Amino acid sequence: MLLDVKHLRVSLPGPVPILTDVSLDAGRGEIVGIAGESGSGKSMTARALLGLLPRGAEVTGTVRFDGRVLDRRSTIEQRGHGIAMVFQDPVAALHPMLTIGRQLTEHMRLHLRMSKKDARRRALGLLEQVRLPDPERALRGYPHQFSGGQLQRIAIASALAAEPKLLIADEPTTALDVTVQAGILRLLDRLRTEMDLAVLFITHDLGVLASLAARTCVFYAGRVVETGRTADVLRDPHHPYTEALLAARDASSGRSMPGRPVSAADAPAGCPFAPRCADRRDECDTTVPERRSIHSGHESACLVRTAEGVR
Amino acid sequence: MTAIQDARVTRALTRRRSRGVWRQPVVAGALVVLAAWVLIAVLADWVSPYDALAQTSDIYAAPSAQHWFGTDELGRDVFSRVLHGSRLSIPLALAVVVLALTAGGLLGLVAGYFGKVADEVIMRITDLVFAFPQIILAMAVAAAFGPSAANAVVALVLVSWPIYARVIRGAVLSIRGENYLSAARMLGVGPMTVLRRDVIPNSVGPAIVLATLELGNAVLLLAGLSFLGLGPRPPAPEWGAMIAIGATDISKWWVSVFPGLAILTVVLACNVLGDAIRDRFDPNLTGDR
Amino acid sequence: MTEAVAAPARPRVPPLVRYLARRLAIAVGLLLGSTVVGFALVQAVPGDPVAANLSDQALGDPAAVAAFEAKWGLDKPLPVQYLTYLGNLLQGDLGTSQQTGRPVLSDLAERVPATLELVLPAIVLSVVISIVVGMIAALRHGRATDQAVRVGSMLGLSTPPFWLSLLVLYLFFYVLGVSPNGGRISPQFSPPPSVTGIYPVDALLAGDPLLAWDAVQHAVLPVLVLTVVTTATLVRFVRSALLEVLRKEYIAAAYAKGLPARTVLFRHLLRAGLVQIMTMTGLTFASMLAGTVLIENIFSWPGLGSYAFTSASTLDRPSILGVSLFVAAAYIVVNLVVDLLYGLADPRIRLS
Repeated sequence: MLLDVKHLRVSLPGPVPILTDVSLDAGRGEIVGIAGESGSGKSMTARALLGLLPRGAEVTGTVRFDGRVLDRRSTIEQRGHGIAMVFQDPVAALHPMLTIGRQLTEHMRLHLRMSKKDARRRALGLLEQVRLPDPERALRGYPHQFSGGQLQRIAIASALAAEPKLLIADEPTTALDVTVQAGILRLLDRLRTEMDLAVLFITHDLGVLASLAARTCVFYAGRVVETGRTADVLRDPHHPYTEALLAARDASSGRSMPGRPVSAADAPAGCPFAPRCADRRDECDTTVPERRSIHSGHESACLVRTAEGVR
Repeated sequence: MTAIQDARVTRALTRRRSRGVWRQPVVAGALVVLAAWVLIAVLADWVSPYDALAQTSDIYAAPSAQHWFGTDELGRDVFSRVLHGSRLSIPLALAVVVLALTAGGLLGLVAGYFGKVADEVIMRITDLVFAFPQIILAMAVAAAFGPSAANAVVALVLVSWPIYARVIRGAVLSIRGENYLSAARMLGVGPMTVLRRDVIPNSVGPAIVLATLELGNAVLLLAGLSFLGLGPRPPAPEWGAMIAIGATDISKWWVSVFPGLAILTVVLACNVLGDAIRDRFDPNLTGDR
Repeated sequence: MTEAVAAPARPRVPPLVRYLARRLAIAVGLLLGSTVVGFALVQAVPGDPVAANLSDQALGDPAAVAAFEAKWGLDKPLPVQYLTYLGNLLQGDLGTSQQTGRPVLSDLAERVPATLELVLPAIVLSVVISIVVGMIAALRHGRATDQAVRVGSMLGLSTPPFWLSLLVLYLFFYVLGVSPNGGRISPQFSPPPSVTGIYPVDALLAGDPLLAWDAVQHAVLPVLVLTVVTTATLVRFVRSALLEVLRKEYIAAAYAKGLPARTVLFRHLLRAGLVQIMTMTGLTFASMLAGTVLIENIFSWPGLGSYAFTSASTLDRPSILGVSLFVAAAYIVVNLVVDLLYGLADPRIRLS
């Protein structure tokens, strides 16, 4: 496994818990989906992996990347070169006053020790790889001259510039038009195979993961509540939250989840989903469920639904 | 980061740090200082050891047990004069702020609410006034009308109203966008009523914040004008004028230092309070002066 | 997915030029407006303009009086008077100063460089210090260093500049004896031949380093006070501008790329905040010109500020007017220059 995260906990001074127990992994050439609503901690996980947490954040647990355990220093060293990130809003994530060329090559030259000329040539190649029209002119342009979809392609090219092994895409299509989304998803899939890239795809839209991600982790209140092969999780969800999430998506059913999503800081004692859960029992309010295996690779953190599949 | 996480994170970070440390003791201190000065202004006659205008033969006496702040060039007790100075500086500065707020606020209200021509004209005039640095314009006006306390106030009001106009106009414009206003109009509520009931109460907030921020500036400008001889006429114990006299012989440092300290403490207290109020109610107001 | 790259279609006029033209038009409008304000001010000053402007000797001469009245159109209606005044203005005639008896224009020509001698170094120092300190404070937001900067700047902008000047003079001249007691040069020297009007420069040009050093020594304290007062205001703006940029996603993205802090701070952070900083610097320059009014007095510095002061206190109308107009014009011009730099720096304006 390229990336192996075990029991990651993140909290801010307060103490304000952000992530309470996150474990996941991803291998080369696979796309792992991270699904959850606002406040579930999915974006924070991405930031934790890159060491981009706010000052004063406390991090415990182990992160193994490319064979070694990462501490603060090595996390910073991996930025761009080992692990790269694509942000949600490409308009906000690119510097308005620097040329595209500059933004593509600056870290490339740093990590890969390239000359200006070589870097430029590689940048052109990357823009072609992400299918951006007229790459020559694009290099000289500024972000405000491009559309959202084009900028996201550029952002992806930038993320790939320093030859990372793991790409974290934090809701890369949320800020884009629906028509443009499909193209970005296809692009990511192609890059996965072309470059043997590992991808963590963060989204609140489970549907997107169906066609894209091999495996999926479902986040709620700062912990992973269900994980497994995407097909399994979507077709046969075991955790009540996943089930409710899928049901709410289904427009024709007209059912929505009672209550509002909860962050780690606001989570009650015991199972964080208990207050909204239809299957809630007394023990759910006091005991935090551990992730248990349903069958190979498919795990769920619920006290009520055991491997025997009580429904 | 999503909005929820962002707010939480921000709150967590600021809970004990910048807000906590900066606000509590310092702001409380500023309030105490300001309250003290207001009390002094009210009780000056009772608190002063000497008559602020009484001249003695004990000229330029250094600070001592009898004269805590020494005496000036006419033998007057500097301590008493400093205390009495608050009776000029504080009310005059308040007058400037209140008048400028009223005038500027009204114009800003008109500009923001009625828009079009009125807005254009008023904005161009504010641009024009902004083109002159405050002290120069105030100086010119005060000189034109003759030095006196009243004229100094007028000059400063003429120079300061534009900022109020701008801010109030901004507040009105943002309220105008609110749907409930158009709803009220559609129901047939007259413009005057809407103004009175909805627009004005909502503009009061930013106005108050600005006024507190501007108070310190008013005190400084007033002191500046009277330093230049364009404020209350002597023998009025205005702090700025006292410093000007002290400048004629710097070896007698006490004549200038204490009035200056008075100005410093008042303005500092005003600024600290203004900042704190702004932070609490409307952080976007002036972009951290 | 075949959207073409937004090609900058060939406009008839490049956007930068259009932007500048608009700014220029506004500047001219403001300048004209200032003359109106100035004119109105002069009308407001009580007293007889003839008596105020002519010497006693000239007052006795009917021809001189008539000539004066004709020149300024005093017998004509107000709007005509304004136009006459404007006409004279454009020819460089600002009237004759009451206090010096010379044309206001030559007074200004003499006083302005003296003030520039203080303002130029002060502005450079203020900007540099503000950027450095402001950046440090923004990066250490909420911590001790940041608090110290906030407190320090609060103190600086709550202090009356004229009082600070006195304190400083008292300390360094009276107590420590390391500074001269005001003035531009020591009494034993005479001013260098005038090239720029700025004494240290002119002295060096005339090959007199001792004089240059003396001039510099005299300028140190006023420049110090000016710098302190200006930095106090400027550093707050720089700090808040940079704090805003720090919140932006592109800064996090830059760190995420693995760029060293040095690069992120200078190439990404500063460049983004530069625009606001430049705007503030423009405003600062002009308000500095104003600040000198209160400072030059104490240091017996014969610059624009003290000229403005004596004009005001002696009700010297032409001089008051001349100074006000000059300062307003300087303000407007500096802002125009800042607008130009702003347009060059921000590609969104330059190219869109």
